[in-house]
This record gives sequence, structure tokens and C-alpha cells, in this order.
Amino acid sequence: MVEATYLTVAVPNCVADDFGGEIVALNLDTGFYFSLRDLAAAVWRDLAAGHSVESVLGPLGAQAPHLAEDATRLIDRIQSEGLMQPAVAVVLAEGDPSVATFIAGGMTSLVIDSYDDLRDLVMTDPIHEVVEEVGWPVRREDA
Amino acid sequence: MTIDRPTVSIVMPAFNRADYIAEALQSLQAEPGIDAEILVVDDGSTDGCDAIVASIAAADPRVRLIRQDHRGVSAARNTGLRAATGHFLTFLDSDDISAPGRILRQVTKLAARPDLVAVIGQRIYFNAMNRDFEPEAGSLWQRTLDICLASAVFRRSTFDVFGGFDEALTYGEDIDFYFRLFEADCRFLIEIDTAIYYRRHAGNMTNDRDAMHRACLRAYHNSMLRRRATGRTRRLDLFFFRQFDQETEFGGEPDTAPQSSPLNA
Repeated sequence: MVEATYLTVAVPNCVADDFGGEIVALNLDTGFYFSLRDLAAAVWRDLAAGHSVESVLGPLGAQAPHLAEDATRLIDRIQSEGLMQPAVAVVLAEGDPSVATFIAGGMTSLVIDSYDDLRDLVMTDPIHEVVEEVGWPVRREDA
Repeated sequence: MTIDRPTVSIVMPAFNRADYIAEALQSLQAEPGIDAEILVVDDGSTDGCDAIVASIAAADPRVRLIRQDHRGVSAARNTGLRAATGHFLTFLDSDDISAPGRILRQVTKLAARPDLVAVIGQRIYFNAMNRDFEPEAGSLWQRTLDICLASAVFRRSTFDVFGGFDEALTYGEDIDFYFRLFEADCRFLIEIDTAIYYRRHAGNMTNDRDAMHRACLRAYHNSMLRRRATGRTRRLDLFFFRQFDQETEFGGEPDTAPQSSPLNA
């Protein structure tokens, strides 16, 4: 069930970037990282750009009900994995969400791939964060 | 294999490190038992760093200064790789210190084991250290096995097999390189000995947290692309940030590791 109308990338615990249309998102708290491609990446981009959940699901449901259901599950997963969270304030996106364009282009994959093989690396903070009291780099308690 | 005096190229990328580079070079010049080729690639410094290196190079033929326009650390490392002629290769950043004796120690171990791709030691972070390489009283320091090119010795031929550094990466080029080795199930020897001392200071490249995170993302993405292309579905088996209480081998079985050409043959 999608409860939030607007979502935003869950900074600072999530860092994400768009690499040639593929979204790679890293949860710094859990050490899991994720890949979203095709239509899943379009959903991410639309939400991150300030489109409402409803405005993203609308074109998908109009194309095929199962697409809206799949997208709802994707959005739930994005939130449960700590990658996006309900927006406290949002700059509304202009224009229509891009998902319709992707559907028209035949892209209907709403898969999110997750990886945990770099967990030790991520959880120990590869950028050598300094915490003055304990030295560095810091291995978190939950790692 | 026994080696009387192994030839070792040491690549040091440098950008505006006038305050530290002399000490970094001194730690290499003092390294015993190797024929060192110290390649300092000055990446367009504007603080006189290159002049300091030129002065040191004038007095020590082992030190060679290569100047280039500012192109980033990956490009600087690649410039050093192209110039390297040693059988073995390691790195040292221009603000860090190579632990005394570590290069010969690691080279000796690597030369004895053709199935190994690298010997990797520990890194000690410090912000103040005395001449005996002990943290000053009250100084922060920590010992860790982390992703670091300078704590390892490789064969130069490894870079012929796996390529150099991705110049699209302004940070995280070391992560990207190590991932390529992990994806190929290369075999490593992990030492518990100290390899380098990593100086923490306000100018550390790794202090730019957001840029580093995004560089890590790009490195992860590059790895995903390669693994998709090769059909690899097995997890990467990483050893970084683990703690070992004795020397440990890690990685693929010897017969699956890439073969490197004999050295000093």
C-alpha cells in the first residue's frame, strides 16, 4: 500500500545516481545497493523529480492494471529498503511524468535488483569518515 | 623464485602536496633491497610541489618527475603505469608514508607465488606520528585493511591483463580496479604487517563525502555492468575491512587465477 503522495530520496542514508538511464541507489545504513532499469528507473526519476505517486501510477494503470500494481509494489519496496521516504516539502515537477513515454516505447520492466556483496565495504565507510572520539574509519555497531 | 634486487616501479600521483611530498618520497628513498623507480606524476600542481620533486630528483636518479596538465588522479596513475619499467609495481600517495621495508617484504612474497595477483598489507591512519612511526601522544590513529593501492604490491603485468584506471572516475579508481580483480576471482595474500601510513589532514581527497559516495556508486555500477556482460552471478567475495590475526590467503583457487608472466626471468 502506498501511503505517501510525494516521495523524496532518503538522504543522508541513501545516495543515488543516474548512470545512463540506470539508477543505482545505495543504502548506507544497511549496506545494500540497488539497480533500477527501464520503467523502474523512470518511476524513480519521476518520483525524485517531484511527481506524485498517483500521477506516476495513473498512466501505468491506464496502460494495464498490472503495471500499476507492479509499480505500487516497486514503490513500497523502494520505501521499505530505505531508499525513498515521504517528502516533508516538495518542489512540484512540471509537465507529465516520463513513465508514459517509457510505456509507449515498450519498456515495461519494473524490476529492482538488490546486491549485498559489498556490505562489509559500505558498512565500514570506504571514505574514511572521521569520528574524533574513536578514530577512523568507523565500523558501525550494526555492521 | 629468489630475487637479488627486484626492480620495482612506484607510482606517486601528486597534486598540490608541497607540504607533504618530500616526506613521502623520503620513505621510498630509504626502502632497502630493491632497485626502485620512483615515478612522481605531477598533475598540474600550482603550489610548487613539482619544484620540490624536481629538486629531489636532481639528487637521486631513482626519482623521476613527470609533469602533466591537471587531469585527475586516475589519469596521473595511468601516466605512471605507462612510464613504469619495473617488474613489480606499487603506489604511494604524495601525502602518505610507506612503512620501512614493506616493499621488499611484499615483493619477496609475491615473487615466490605466481598464483598470487597481489600482496596486501595493513594501513594505519594517523594525524601525527613521531620519527619511529608511532602515533604522537593524543594523536588519533587506526589500523585497518581497506581498499588502498599503496598497501599492495602487484606485478606490472597485472595491469596489462586488467587495464589501468578508469579516467572517468575522479575518486574511487582504486575500488574500481580492485573490483576487476575480485570479479576474476584473483588470489591475494593478506598480511597483518603494516604497509603504509595514511595521513589524515584537511586536504585529503577523501574528505569530500558526497563526491566519494557518488564515485563509489559509479564503481559499483561499472562492476554490475561487467558482471552482467560476463554472466557472473556469484557474489564478490571481498576481504577488505575484515580483521585477520595471521597472514591469510584470499580469493579464487590458484588454477583459476590469471597467469602472469614470469618476472626477472
